[in-house]
Amino acid sequence: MGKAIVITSGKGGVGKTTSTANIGIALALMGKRVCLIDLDIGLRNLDVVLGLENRIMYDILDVVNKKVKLFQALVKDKRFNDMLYLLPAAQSTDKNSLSEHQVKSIVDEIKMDFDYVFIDCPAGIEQGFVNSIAGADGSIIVTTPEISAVRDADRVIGLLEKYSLKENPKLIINRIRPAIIEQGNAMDVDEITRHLGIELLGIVLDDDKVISTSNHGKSIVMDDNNKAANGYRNIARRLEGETVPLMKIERETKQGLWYRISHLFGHDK
Amino acid sequence: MRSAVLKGNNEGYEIVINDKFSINDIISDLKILIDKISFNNSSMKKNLRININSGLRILSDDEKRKIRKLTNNYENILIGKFISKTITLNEANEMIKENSVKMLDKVIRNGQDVFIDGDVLFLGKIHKGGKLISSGNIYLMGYSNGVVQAGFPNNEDKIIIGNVFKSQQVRVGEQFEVIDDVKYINNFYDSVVYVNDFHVISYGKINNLSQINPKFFNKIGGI
Repeated sequence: MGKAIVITSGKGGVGKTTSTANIGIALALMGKRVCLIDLDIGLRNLDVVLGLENRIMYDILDVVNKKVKLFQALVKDKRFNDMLYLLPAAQSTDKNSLSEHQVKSIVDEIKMDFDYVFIDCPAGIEQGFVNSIAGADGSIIVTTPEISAVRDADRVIGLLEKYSLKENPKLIINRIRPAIIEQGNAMDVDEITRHLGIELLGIVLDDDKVISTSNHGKSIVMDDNNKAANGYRNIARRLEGETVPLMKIERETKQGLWYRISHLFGHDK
Repeated sequence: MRSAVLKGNNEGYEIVINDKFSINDIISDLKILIDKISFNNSSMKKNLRININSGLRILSDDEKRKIRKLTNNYENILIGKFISKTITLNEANEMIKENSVKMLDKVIRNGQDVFIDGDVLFLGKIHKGGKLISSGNIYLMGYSNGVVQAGFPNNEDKIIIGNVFKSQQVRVGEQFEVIDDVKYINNFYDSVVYVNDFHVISYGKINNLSQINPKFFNKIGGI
């Protein structure tokens, strides 16, 4: 019997789907059986990010309407030998076509077979959000060091406390850009965590490669020497109960032309 | 006796119904006529099959059932088929649909399912996540990056003609295939996607249509 965790944020575009995919893959690579559920009905993306969009035959609505059995609708990711599955969202309808207890019964059924079930929540706090948390045991809030994202995260944490899931919500701060924080132009990790008052699960540095890999249906976490990937791997390990120290936020020194030339002549500062 | 007359032609016997009479007159006349025929035919052991020709009258299913019932008591007479010179509007529309190809030129976007009843000549563009579904054949002249399904829901005799190389999936009836999984597929406009005798999706060329689907080929090739 596995654990169902909803990944939510309130605000759109902070990286819920990317985080869902990467944490899922990281855990699958650690040898856990993982199922990702896309509940962004009508605007599904998780399949695209995972590179599985061509393989979708049936979706969650077909399962709910008893058109097919659950296992027929699950799309297997061939890259991770039987460890990672996706239950795609329906695309030709909207969020109101599902109800809480329908989602809950599906999540409960999936939990039987998997170690982890991650539910990719749509942006907003309407029916889609209510559906997403219906079957969840725990929650992960994704935010970015932007005031608007933190504000929405705060609102969502409030709602989650009202629904009182089994586990307390955990926080991921995504898209951290050390340069801006260093200049004092954005909230830093401590500030955000203190403000929101929930446990920090991990941080992920901003990296262009996150976008470029997902554009190719690959995921950053499969890159061994990438800081963002490291962030996601650490999050996966912490979910597994390991104690992993928080990575240092260091600004990457720009190695410009003059820097390299001065290096060449031994003028090290 | 005036509303129903027995006639013989080279296909056998038929009772011609005069379409000017009411159905009650026709049935009572038929009753007498059938009784007579049965009496005259009593020496013969073989069943006599008689077709009913209703001329310009359209007999409803209920009326046909009543007429068939008339012969229930006679062992040597059987009503064959019902012939008439007319068809209902529904049947006519059905015939038109079966023999016509609908033209469609539009962009089918992510999340849109477009269903066409009958054959379709598609000139538009299917984006990823879009679906073109037809109960008949699909002739693809536009671009497809999405899902193309012919013979919906379960007719495996239908085919898809055109370049499906860039599609996400092809489906014919209940059979489907993810194009990524196909090891070899023609990147040509003249590909034919069909379901073979083993109920598996196969790919051919227009040149071989006569072997792929002889019935369809005879229909379009035999003028």
